[in-house]
Amino acid sequence: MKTMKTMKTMKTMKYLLILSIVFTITSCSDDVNDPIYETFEDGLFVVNEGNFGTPNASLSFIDENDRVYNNIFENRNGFPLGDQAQSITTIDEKAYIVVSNSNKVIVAKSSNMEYITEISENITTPRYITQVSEGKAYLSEWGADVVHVIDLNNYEIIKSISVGQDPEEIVVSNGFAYVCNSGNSWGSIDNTVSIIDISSDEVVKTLTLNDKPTTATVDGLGNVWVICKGNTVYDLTTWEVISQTAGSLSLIDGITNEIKKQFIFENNPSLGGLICDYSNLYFQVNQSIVSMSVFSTDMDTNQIASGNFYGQFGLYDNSIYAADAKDFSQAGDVYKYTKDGVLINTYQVGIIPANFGF
Amino acid sequence: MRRFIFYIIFCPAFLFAQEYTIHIPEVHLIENRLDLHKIGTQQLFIDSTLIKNSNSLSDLLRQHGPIFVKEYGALSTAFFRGTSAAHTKLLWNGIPLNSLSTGIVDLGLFPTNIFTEIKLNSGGNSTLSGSGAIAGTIQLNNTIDFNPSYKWEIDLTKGSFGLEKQSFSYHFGDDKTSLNLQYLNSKSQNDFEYVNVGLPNSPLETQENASKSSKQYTLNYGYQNKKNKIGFNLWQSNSYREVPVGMLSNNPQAKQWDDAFRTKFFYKQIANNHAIELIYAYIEEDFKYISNSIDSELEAKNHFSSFEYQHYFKSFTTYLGSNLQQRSVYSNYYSAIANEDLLVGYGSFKFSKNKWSSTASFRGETHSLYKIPILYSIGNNYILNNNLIWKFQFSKNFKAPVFNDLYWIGDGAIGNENLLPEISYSTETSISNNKISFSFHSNFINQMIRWHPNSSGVWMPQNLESVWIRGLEFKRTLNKKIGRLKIFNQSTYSYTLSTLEESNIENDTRIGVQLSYVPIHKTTSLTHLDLKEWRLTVSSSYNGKVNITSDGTETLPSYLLVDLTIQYQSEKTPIILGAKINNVTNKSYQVFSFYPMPGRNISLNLNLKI
Repeated sequence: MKTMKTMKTMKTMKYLLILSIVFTITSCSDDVNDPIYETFEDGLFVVNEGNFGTPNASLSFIDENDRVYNNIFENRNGFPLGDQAQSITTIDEKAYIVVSNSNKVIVAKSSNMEYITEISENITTPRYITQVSEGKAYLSEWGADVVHVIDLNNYEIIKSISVGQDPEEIVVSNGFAYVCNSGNSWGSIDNTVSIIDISSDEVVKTLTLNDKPTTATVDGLGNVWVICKGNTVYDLTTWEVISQTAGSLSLIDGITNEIKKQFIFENNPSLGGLICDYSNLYFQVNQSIVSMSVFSTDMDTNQIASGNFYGQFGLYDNSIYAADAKDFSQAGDVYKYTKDGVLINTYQVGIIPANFGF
Repeated sequence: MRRFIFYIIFCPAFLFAQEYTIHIPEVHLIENRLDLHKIGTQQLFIDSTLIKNSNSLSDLLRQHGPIFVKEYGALSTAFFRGTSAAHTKLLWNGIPLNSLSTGIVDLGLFPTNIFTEIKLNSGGNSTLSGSGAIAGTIQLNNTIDFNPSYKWEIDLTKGSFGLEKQSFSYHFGDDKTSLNLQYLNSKSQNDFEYVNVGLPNSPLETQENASKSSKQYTLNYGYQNKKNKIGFNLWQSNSYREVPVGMLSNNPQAKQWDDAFRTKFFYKQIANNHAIELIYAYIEEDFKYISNSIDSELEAKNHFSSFEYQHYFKSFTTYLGSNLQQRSVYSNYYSAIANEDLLVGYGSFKFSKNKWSSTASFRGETHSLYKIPILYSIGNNYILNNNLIWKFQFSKNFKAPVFNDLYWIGDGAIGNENLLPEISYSTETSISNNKISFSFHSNFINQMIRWHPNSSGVWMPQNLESVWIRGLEFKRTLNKKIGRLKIFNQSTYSYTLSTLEESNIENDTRIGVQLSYVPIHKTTSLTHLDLKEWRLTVSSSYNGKVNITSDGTETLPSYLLVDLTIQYQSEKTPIILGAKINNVTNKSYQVFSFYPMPGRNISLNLNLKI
């Protein structure tokens, strides 16, 4: 009886062996670095957008020793971020990751990416989250063209402020929040910046700039810089450009909320990725990173680097970071430059790297 | 007993050492030019039990043969041998059904039991069936049956997730006339529960916005006398579907309507040594898609007219023909109605003598925007001994740019009228007898069309890439009798490597990586156990691990699916009773990343013939 059983087992084993040869030739286990022991403190996060409609958005982290950690959120928590990550903001040791097409903001411990909770009630197509005061943040969303006021103590929306179309980046200076009403979704248009009084959560002023205000930054003097991308209208029968409105770089006085400077770009270049390191601005003009002093009286830009850039730029520890999404289906690259545009390093990250945070 | 089940599910090919065989002469009588495909390459017939009992063509193909199925949302596509769905041609009674706008076919729209015959041709055969026949062809046929008979048939199905199907058909046949009428109504809520593995603590959720319903009407008629055959096929279908989204995506509550009217008229005159065949077909497809943010409409029309002359010599047959395809597509994403006239000329030659059968085909097509090179194919069968056949084929095939590639305008994308057709060179060789076949294939596709953002960020298609597909296929068919138990088994295994060889991107990490959603390993197995009035059918398919990103950084695990069908058919009553259990093991799996698939589910079937 015992022998019979052993023989049976042996035969079963034999067939299992055949099976394993036939079926599992390629199913070697994937190596993942164990992120539980990693800390994401000295370095910067890269938001990899992922493909729209597929939850392959991911987070990468580049530390000060040039080590890259990919897919850190999923590796830590066992589930993915979701569908199309837009941005990351760190507030009080918590990372707020805005996942646009999953209609949520994931909150995780910034030191190790451990999931805490998510903000998803009544949110459609969120874009950017910015802390505006102690315990309070603003979240822009395209769905209802509003800025949600979020109580960071209980992660609840306490108010929703109507702004212009497709609000994107929000920056804060001197008690005011400046919201870029981008008009960036298909078939939409806007040219305004809504200025919100943070103490009352009310829009106190709407400035008209140029078409598609999209990216903004605050300089060392507390003034606000905004890039408007300009609008292109195509002939829908020939797809030729019928008309284009100029893009611009504008300066809003951080105290009076008046437009102080407005530089118009000739020849309609593609613009984006505005960042500032106190007195120097860096942004994208076509396939270049340019720099410009905040004290310039005319548009006096220096091209410092060129490449196939996508999304925003990052500024961390005196280096400029830029993303290359390649063909939008494979892992993209992040380039690290000095402020003079010397390439220091290249890192392979996730699919469609598009934004940075730390 | 447990081991027995294990064998049936996993490795039936190892089960039997000996079995009896039936010899079927394969190539001597080829009346239909499409079947020239059998010379040099493989043809697989889909089992009629499966045709009767599958819910859609998509379910059927996933469980059968060396063909891969990709499903997400409402869309389901199939592709042979690790290419893309647009590289597989779908023919309905010889008429191409691939969408003019996208080049693919949505298999979720096609029920299976309105066809009498489904054939899978592996391998390139553009010379026989035109653009897109790069990796294989699926043939859906309504054979016109002149065998004297007269019957009414009622078929009722009820199943999980609100599945309901009612089919009524009438068949009349005598030596001269054949008439077949069918009405099929089906609907399903498709609201199965699944574990959302994309959320913390993996909650149990119910699939939303996923219901579907369709109505099909078919009429097939034929008349023949000594020298003439005439007839037509009509097929009207009206489908409505809600379009589900992935587990983690915003649900825009999309709805989709697909209405199609397809008709084919044929006339064939047969003389002693030649035949003439005239065909006119008209296909009209209306598509509407509405969601929170998208409102899309499309209407495609194709007039297909063909003439073919066949001449038979003693050991030689020629087929010379020409067809004209007049196509037009209206879309709210095209600037105007897009029209194309395609003129095709071809010749095929078959030679059979003793142990040799050979075929050679040529095809030329003209198009107003791009040049299509002359296509050719050669195939050989050689009988090594009584049972063993060696086959060889080499062919040059193509896939033309589709209407979206050429004429699309909108949503940040634009078509390109300077595209060239994709060109492929494919070859294969096989050894087979009635029990086993073993084949090797290789296919190199050049100037593949890929959408990519241009310098101003607008997506545009260009001829950018080259892909190399090669692999092995193994098929085994067994028949065995143990007392009164009859056992039939057919199992397949395919090993497929499909890699990007050239692209336009510097440091492209995709080069040499297995293309996404193409399993390297796939097996299928179908077993019938017949005992008196009972038939138990076990069908299983194993899909190996697949890459889900183009650079292979993320994968989906392999899965094994098993379906069980039990049927009771008594000779004394005109009733067939059937029960089917899909996904017997209640496997939780994904075909497409984070799109849920149903767990174990059942359907009951009653078939009554009068």
